[in-house]
Amino acid sequence: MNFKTILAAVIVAVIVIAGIAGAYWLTQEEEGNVVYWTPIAPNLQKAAVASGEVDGGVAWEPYCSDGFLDGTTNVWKWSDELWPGHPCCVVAVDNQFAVDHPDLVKRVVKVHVEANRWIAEALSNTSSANYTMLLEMGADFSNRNTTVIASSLEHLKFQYEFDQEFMDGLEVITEKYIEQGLVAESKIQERGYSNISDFVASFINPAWLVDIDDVQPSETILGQVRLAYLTGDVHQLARVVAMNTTVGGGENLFVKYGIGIIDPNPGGYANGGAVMTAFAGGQCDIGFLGSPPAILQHLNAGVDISLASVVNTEGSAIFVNPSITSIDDFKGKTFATPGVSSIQHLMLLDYLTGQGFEVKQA
Amino acid sequence: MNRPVVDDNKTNGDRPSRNGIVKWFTRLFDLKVIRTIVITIISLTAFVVVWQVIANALSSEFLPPPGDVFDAFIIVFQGPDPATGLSMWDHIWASLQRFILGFILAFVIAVPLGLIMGFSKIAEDFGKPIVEIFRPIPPIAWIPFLLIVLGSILGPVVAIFIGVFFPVLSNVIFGVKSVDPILMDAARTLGSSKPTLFRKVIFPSTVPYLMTGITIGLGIGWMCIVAAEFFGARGGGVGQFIIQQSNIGRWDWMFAGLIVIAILGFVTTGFSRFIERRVSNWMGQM
Repeated sequence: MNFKTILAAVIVAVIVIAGIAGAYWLTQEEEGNVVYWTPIAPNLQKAAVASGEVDGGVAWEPYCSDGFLDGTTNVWKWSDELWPGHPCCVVAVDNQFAVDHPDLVKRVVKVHVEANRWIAEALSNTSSANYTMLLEMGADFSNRNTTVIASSLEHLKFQYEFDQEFMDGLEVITEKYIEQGLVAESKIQERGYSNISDFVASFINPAWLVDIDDVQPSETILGQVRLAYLTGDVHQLARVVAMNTTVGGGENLFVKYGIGIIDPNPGGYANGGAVMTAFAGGQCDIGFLGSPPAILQHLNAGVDISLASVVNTEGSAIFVNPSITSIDDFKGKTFATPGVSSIQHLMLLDYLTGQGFEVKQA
Repeated sequence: MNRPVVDDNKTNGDRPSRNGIVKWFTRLFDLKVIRTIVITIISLTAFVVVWQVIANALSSEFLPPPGDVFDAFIIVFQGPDPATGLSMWDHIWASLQRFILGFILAFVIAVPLGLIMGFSKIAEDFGKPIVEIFRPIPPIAWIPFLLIVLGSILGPVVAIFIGVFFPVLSNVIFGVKSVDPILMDAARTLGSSKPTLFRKVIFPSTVPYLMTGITIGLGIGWMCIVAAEFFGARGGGVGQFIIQQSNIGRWDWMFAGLIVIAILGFVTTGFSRFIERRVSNWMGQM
């Protein structure tokens, strides 16, 4: 064997050893009173728990109900236990679009209100045909079965009006983001607001809901709206209901009120951050998304939107692998979250730090 | 004009370091090198100026000016960012581990497989249909599946593996097929056995092609790691940093992440090209 052959063998051996060592490092975690989080899309979290990739997660419906109904996960805390009435999804409007097309915005808000009223009526009678239809719509949209949707609907509240609790919640979210350093405090003044309360009061625009019952159906299409939404998120069921032609009596509610809907990203966006990026890139005019990403990107990047209506409150949960039975079991475990800009992530962080854990990214 | 070049191997062996310095200075003051350096500086300056002009013209927070990105670039190395709680060093280390592991896996499997497929017609006929089915599929398209099946540790690693594997495999096969038949015949005539033929003729002839495959694979590997980390990655990662910053609207930080990726890609492919040149020289001396 000559020198070069030996050298080649040594190099290959070093490469293989480095590979094994790398694999070992990647799978190691620190010990201590630490709980880890890792970003995983809500629709993948159940599979991640099942495979042992993570020990639990926090997500929106229907993914919480989906996991616990088939026994993959146990719900540790529903979000109404963590933060009763917490703000969740909203309808956001591009401010320039609102200036250019106030009638279209008003009409979209009207459709949203109509859809919410239809949902409220359907939910008031669980033996009605409309309730069954609502479950089927949710099942089709989220690719889950109707049992999962029925469970999901028990854990979230549809609402369209801004109430004081919702506005207070937005203030809390903003304060927490400033506290965590996700938003610099100076951004409030930089965006022209005197303080957090002023920001929230200016960021929401309840004027769109005033005299909403005066808006009448239209015989013709008055304009097109590019409407963004999240993939499979049952929180945003009002949009799905509004798109249903049976609910609208042969045409969907948007068409009934003279709006042509353009789907800027067929199938929906992965998270609210992506919807905000679509706003920033001029790809959508109106969007359904979580209030936290709307706050974050408005303050940090100046995305020029305002909130026209509430979509829902609550409707999320922290869930765990069934082997976790006490809070002590959380130590050293890893939880999936939809990402830093979600209300679910914020609630998980709050809960875990409240329980005395140090929370780190896995 | 040809400059006199001092060859370390042929001059007085007592003073190799001095000769090395002379050689370095000779090369440094070579007009061609100076011209390349000047043009590179002008090119980068022009890039920064154009960036500044576009940023001013757009006046958008989504395209921060170079100065803001430079500041962000410095800050991200100084401590954990609020979105992920990790510093840029942590992100780079996490990405590098995945990258190296995926690369090693691809290297260890693709090289012997390529040698066998290039050498044996039966192996090629058996392997080619499978390779041709999978090769056109972009590695990024596998990521959602890989994350579910293998998780967010091994999933991104395998995405890189796929990205590096096919360029290396294809180049090794091509390298084996490009071996001069006269050389092969000469070796056989001189009584070389198959293993000797493989070791003394085929493998050395294939190395330059292998290095080209590696250089291509490295570039693809960085694309894969960033895309995989967008979907989810335990332990952070530069891709994870970029997507989280864009989700919260910290565009200056996001651009800092892009620059980090550019530097990492430049360094790794530059290193690969350096090795490629060294190997070519080495092969030439054999």
